[in-house]
Amino acid sequence: MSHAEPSVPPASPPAVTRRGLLKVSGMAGAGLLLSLSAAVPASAAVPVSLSAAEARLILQVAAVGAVFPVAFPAFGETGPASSRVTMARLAPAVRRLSAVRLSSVRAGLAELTGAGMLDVAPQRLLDGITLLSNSSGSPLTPVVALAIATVSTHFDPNADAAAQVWIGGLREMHRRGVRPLIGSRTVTRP
Amino acid sequence: MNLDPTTAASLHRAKRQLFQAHLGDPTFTGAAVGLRQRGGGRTDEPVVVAMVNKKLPERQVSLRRALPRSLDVDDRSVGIDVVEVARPHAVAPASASPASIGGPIIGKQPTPIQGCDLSMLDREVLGALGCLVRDNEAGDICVLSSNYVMANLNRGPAASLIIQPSIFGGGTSGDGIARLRRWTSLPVYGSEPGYADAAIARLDNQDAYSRGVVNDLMPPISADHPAVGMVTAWDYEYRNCFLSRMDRIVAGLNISLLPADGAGAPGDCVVEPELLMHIEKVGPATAYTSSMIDAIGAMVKVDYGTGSIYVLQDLIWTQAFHWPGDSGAVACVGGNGHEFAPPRDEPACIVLDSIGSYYNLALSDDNGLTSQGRDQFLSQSQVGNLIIELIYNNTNVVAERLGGKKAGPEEQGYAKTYYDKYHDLFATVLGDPDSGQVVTEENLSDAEFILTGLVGGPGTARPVLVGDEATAAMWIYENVLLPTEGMDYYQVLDYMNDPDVYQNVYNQLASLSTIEMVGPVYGDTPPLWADATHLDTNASIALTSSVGLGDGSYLVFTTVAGSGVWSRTCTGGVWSSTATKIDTTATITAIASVRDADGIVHLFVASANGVWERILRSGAWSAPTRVDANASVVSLAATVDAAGTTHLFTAVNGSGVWERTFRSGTWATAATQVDTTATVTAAAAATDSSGAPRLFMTVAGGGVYTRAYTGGTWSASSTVETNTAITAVAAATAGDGRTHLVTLVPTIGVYDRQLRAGTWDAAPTLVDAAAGIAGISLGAATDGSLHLQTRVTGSGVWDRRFTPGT
Repeated sequence: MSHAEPSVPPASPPAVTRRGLLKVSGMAGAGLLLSLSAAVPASAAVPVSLSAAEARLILQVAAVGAVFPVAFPAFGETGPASSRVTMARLAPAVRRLSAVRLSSVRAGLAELTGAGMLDVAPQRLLDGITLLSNSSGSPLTPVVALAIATVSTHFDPNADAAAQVWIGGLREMHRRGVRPLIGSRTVTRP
Repeated sequence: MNLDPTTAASLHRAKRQLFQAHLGDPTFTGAAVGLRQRGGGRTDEPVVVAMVNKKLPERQVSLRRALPRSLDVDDRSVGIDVVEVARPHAVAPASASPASIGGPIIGKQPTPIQGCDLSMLDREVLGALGCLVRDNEAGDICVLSSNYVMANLNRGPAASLIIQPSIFGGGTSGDGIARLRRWTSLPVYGSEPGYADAAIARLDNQDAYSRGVVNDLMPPISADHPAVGMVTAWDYEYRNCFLSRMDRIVAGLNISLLPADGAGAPGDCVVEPELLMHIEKVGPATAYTSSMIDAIGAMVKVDYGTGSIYVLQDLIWTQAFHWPGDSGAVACVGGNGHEFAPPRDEPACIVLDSIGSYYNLALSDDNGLTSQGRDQFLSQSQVGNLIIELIYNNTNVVAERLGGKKAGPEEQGYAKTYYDKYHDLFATVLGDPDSGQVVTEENLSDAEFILTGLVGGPGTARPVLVGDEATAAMWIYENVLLPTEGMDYYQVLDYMNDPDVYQNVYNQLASLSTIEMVGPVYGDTPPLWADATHLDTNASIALTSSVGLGDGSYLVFTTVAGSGVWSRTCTGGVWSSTATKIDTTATITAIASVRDADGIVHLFVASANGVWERILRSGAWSAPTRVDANASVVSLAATVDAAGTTHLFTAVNGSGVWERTFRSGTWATAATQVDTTATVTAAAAATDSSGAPRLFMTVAGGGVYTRAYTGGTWSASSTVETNTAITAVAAATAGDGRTHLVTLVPTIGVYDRQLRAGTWDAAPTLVDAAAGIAGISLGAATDGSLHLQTRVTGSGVWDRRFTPGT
């Protein structure tokens, strides 16, 4: 539960509710692959898109999140979450990002890339995220939020809540000295 | 107190019968022989003590769990006294570490001595050094304690090191005092029950031991202070305690007690337990206590935390005698019988213990918060009370499913994350309901994540929700939880008091065979199927039918081959002692009855001469008149619709089901085919709450399907019951507007599925589990109740009354 009174007006399109799901799904196929929509003005200081490598890394995170710690719930969509880890779904999720948020995503991706996590095996990526989950400020939260929004249009890529829980679980396991294992889960390589 | 041998023998036989009959019931924990307890005291009536995890008013006990008031054994009636005993455990709950329970006698002793603490070297299970014994086979001195403490539940291995002090007292490999020698086997549920939980370990130093009791808290074992039992198990409230019999232990391990010097022969130092005998013991966890033997010969299911249930028999039942950590302590005859071990503070924490231990969360610290949630929030709504009842009645289900097990590391990690996220929020909302906090989409999304984790799959140790529970939980999430988005505290309360919301939740929960439901809560009076009354002992009765009369009385018709149709009347709850013959048709293939819109009773019988009708008007039966000439009728059914039209249905072998209507005192000249299924074996009819007649049909191996007459036409058929074993069907609508479809599954029993506001219950309820039921009929009384007749092979006809809730 939270306060009924909204604190800060959203800078991006409003959060997608279950009731708005169909509408959002209908938008998914439109537009330039990874660029921001015209509704969000670009400026010299704010990048307008993800690079191919950044997009790939987001999908790799999404592929892990689709199966870990359990299969990602349906939230009104059909088929396994792994089948929704696609560029075609990432594009509209990116378009929903505010400019500031996109910068945060890129910063988080840069941190992951800097840690050598691009194009690695899913287990190694999960290990890397777990290690970074202990960093102050959770730079990975916007990255995971975008990954989650790719897997499920129910989630707003600008909202931290679901990503914080996912990273929080990894942090808790790390604190206990437990290595999160993908184990027998099937990770679909994006 | 000793019972006379004849009475004792009957009681023990009845006890075994009861135990075997209810062994599979998770709410049934055991049976013993004791004295009836009434008004907080003991009477002098010897009875079989039936132990259940929660004693409930009779009307709240689900039918399949109901215990008899008495059992007939050896041509005598043996009384059953139901008492509350939660599932006995031999394992301490997670929150009850020796440190948390005090452990007053933990630490190094100069020499091994009765009552001190010990443990295996590599296993964190605290126990008592019961006493010193001599191994009759090897002739050397051993220490006696429990199998669970010293032999790791049959696993041993032999020669394992036993240390004193225990691990909890700081014991290490340098504190070894003995080596495990042998143990009484603890058989897992399904094999022959065991008699004792005991083991011996040979003392390393055969010359260094004490024959006294630690801290001299009671006299040593002697002929004047004989041993009677050994601490074995307890329930989670530490109120009910069980001991293995010392005579069983001595015989089972082939040992002799080592009494104090000059205290008499070893054989004189062991006595059999007796009812009301005072006993005392000294153990590491609770030191000295004294209580009284409440029952003997106890057969109980003991949980050793392994996921398996062990059955032990011939145990001693006492109360407030010991805690975890006292396992293996020896009880002697003596004491004042009322120096009790303190009970655990929070009986309700069993569920928290189980969940907390499973997810490695310190939920026991949240007893105050959960009590506040229960008392301040849940108890204020219908759905909330349903949830309270659900938890209350399924404590053992939770404890058994999670007890002694651990969630996977991922589950534990995420459980902690959600715990941290919501703990303070719940506390805040409960502390300030006016805070304006509302249920958010984020909260509901979290709920779906949590549900997904409970369902199981890769990444989870095991499913927490099993069978249909996952489907029901998801249904409740989608249909009941999601609509709460945006509601504040008070709006949620209002929502949870909505009867439709309540009914939806109840229907889902009631459909689950894995949990116990005793609702629904219908104000002051819940709906109830009463006990059956033996209506007619004539074993030759072939068919039955019944109908309510306008004066509140009730009529049951029975057919007897070669004799005709007879009736009995129930007036003011009393059945007539004799039957009245009203028809002499010798061979009847079907029977039905109905009370029409004018209050006139119509009785229909089918024979080789067609379908005939008699009318009961002003207390007198008319002469028969033929309604239908068809000679191949296999089943009859009748109902009166909202417009006052009587519908008579005839299931005809080879040609389907036909309908003939009676309106304004006249039968229609022609029948109309309602269903073309040629193999219908039984039909029933009732008018539902919308006023529409409903026809129910069953075919061999085909379940039950129905059609409704609305808007002047019969609907397409739809399946209500898929059970292919159903052979008979009956239907009626009760005063609360709910139509009951009652079906017979031979050798299993009779089921009732209700149509509530146009929706059928997700699953039928077992109403009568008698194996010999061969036929059924159902009718509505004018007071809104229903009467179900069951024809039992060799026994005649029984009547069971259903009272709708108010």
